[in-house]
Amino acid sequence: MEYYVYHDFMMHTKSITYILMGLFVVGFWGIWAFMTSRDEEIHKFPEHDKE
Amino acid sequence: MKRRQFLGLLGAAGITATLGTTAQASSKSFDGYPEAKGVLFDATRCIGCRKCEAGCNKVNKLPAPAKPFEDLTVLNKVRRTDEKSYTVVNKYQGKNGPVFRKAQCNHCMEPACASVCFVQAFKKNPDGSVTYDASVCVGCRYCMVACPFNVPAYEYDDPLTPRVMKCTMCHDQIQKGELSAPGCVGACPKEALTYGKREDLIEIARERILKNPGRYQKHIYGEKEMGGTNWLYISGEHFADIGLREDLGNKSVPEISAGPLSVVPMVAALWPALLGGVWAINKRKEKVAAEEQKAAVKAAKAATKAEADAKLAKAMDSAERDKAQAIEREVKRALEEAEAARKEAEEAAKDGADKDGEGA
Amino acid sequence: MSSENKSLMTPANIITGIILAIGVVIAVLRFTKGLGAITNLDQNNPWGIWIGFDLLCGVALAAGGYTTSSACYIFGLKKYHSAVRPAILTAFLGYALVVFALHFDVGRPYRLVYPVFLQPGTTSLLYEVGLCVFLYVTVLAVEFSPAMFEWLGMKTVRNKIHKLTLALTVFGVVLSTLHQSSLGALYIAVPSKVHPLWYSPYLAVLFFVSSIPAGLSMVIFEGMLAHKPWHHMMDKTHLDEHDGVILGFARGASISLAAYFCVKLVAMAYDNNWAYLATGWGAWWLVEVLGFIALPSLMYAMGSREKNIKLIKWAAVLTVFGIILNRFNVSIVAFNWQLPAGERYFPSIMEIMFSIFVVTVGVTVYRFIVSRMPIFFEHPDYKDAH
Repeated sequence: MEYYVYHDFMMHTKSITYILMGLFVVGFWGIWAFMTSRDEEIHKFPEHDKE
Repeated sequence: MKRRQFLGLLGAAGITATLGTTAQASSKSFDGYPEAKGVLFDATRCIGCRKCEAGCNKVNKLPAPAKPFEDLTVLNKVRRTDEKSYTVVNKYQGKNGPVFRKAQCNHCMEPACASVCFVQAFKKNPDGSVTYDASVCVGCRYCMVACPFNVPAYEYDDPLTPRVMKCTMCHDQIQKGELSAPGCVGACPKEALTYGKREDLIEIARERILKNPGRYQKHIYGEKEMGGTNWLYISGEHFADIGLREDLGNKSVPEISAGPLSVVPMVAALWPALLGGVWAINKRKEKVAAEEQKAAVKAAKAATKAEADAKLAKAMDSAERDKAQAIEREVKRALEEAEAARKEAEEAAKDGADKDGEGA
Repeated sequence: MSSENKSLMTPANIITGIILAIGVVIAVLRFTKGLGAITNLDQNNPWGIWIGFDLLCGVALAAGGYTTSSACYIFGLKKYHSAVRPAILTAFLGYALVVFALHFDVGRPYRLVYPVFLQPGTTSLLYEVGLCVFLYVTVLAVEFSPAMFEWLGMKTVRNKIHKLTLALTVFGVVLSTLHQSSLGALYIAVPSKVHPLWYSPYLAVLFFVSSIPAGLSMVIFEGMLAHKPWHHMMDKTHLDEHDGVILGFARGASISLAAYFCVKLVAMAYDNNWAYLATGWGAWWLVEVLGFIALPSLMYAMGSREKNIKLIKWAAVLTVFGIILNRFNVSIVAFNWQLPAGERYFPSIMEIMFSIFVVTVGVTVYRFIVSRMPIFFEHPDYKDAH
């Protein structure tokens, strides 16, 4: 598709880019959740584990 | 620790800043719509009659001004466009008397207003005009901030439905066939305004400059400024002297903002990985530290126990020895006492015997 | 009953009441008479202090949220734990107020959702700001909500949300980086109107880097302000960690201010603007950079080294003021610097009063929350409450 105006071209590329950004966030969370799904529970404050 | 956090962030910011400034629209070129129209303003022809202002006001059904268009005393003060006037003519002091310049939207080839509008309320049309869509405008006024020519005006007195107001190059009227050229062009008695294809206008302007040496500045204002505009100017005076800034440069706002804009997705792509990595490294460090601590505590406990055991054994030994010594001493004393007692008894016996011997 | 009424009429509450009343009046005027009637905005100066202060400073000073939470949860610096909730609360209120104030500045607030949901102008950095602020205020609300749920006794909800802490923190840092820098980037599009000493293609980096000491200093500054009046709400952990937070944050602030100083110099060198230093504008630039960036950086360094809390607190004041000064310089003082004096902008009384009103609303809600919800203390029912 021919773009005569740089602004129009940018509108097109940036719209795709924002959608990609949304996918990045979801994707990272997904891969992280998957990777840590079998980790031992994290005990950040062991002194509280006494309960 | 805070240093690490900060250095990490700065490192990443540095990377992305570098990446940002090198980003460009690779090998493409954008030359505008081929059939785009524009207007050429010839400052040497304008007489400041303000008929263009009147024409614009009429075809756009704008409110009547405070002072009528025939009142030329208005020219004694330099004005800018406002929410009731899409265009104004200003008077400047030229080399040989007053000169005039008409100000209105320059319909940039790469409009700043369209680039910065966060709701796409501005559009660069194939006919060359830049038009505004009041039906989506939120009223943020960034377009007014960004326009290098200070063109868009705002209806500040409207509390609920204020609009941005600016010249439309009579886009609607021309599309509908009501007009064949913008209202100002049609009204000008001196042909100071010429409407036509932008490329043709540039040719016309070049010709006029060539054919009239000494009459014009050897420059077409708007040919390249801010990436090029569809409203072009030629003038006898320096452009700065007729209110046209000559320090704007040739880079359009879309080009200028392409750099920072390109950094945005890089942050989204890189930060989660970097931060996740820092977190994981920290977690590992904490885990190792916790394990080392556990081992250290264990070793310390063992060492302490061993030390305590040794101490105890030593104390026991010493106690045993003391006991043995004490017993020895007691025995010795008892023996000595017994010995002493025996000796005493011996003495006593000897004394008794002696006594007895002497008395016989 | 009467004793309750008596306790509500404190001097602080009375002043608050007056300011809130004035604010409401101005709000009504805004929507009945329009911006022209109450502001000094005009066709050449479309953005005033409601953008320069409420938006730009509001966002910069709310940076304590992402800096504190990332220090604790991502960089694992647990000793800052007690500072996280107050910082998140301040950030949440800060951003909520920015959105609130924006409803009065834009011409058609009822269309504020258009850029996100109707027709995104993706080439605009203001779109970027809008989207990120919209998402971040949500993240902050969720990050703050456990405190509210603890107060309401809603354990299950609270625990579910608490599990999201790390993800929210990371997302929060991403969003903060983006919108802090984009606010600066707004002005990159306007080289012709911002004075060369403040204009730079690096404005995005400048705004982002400066948001770090801004946030850290605000945490120190507020810790300082809240310490006496809210002492009775603070638990042992909070009080014990207090000095550690100040000393630790002082280090971070010192280094990040030094980095900001360096970025300022790089920006100068990029456009070779050194000659401007010899002008009146140059003197003003030096005041901002030497007095409010270099000086507090050194004060923080000294205060941190000597463990001088008082020095650190003054450094925090200077830094916060310096950030406000910088945002004002970029958006108001150095903006339209070429216009003749008669055409320059100065805020109207009502604009100033309204900004004070917005801050007061924030302070009032803050007071309500910290006096009731577990912000300065850990709720006894929760294992790792914060």
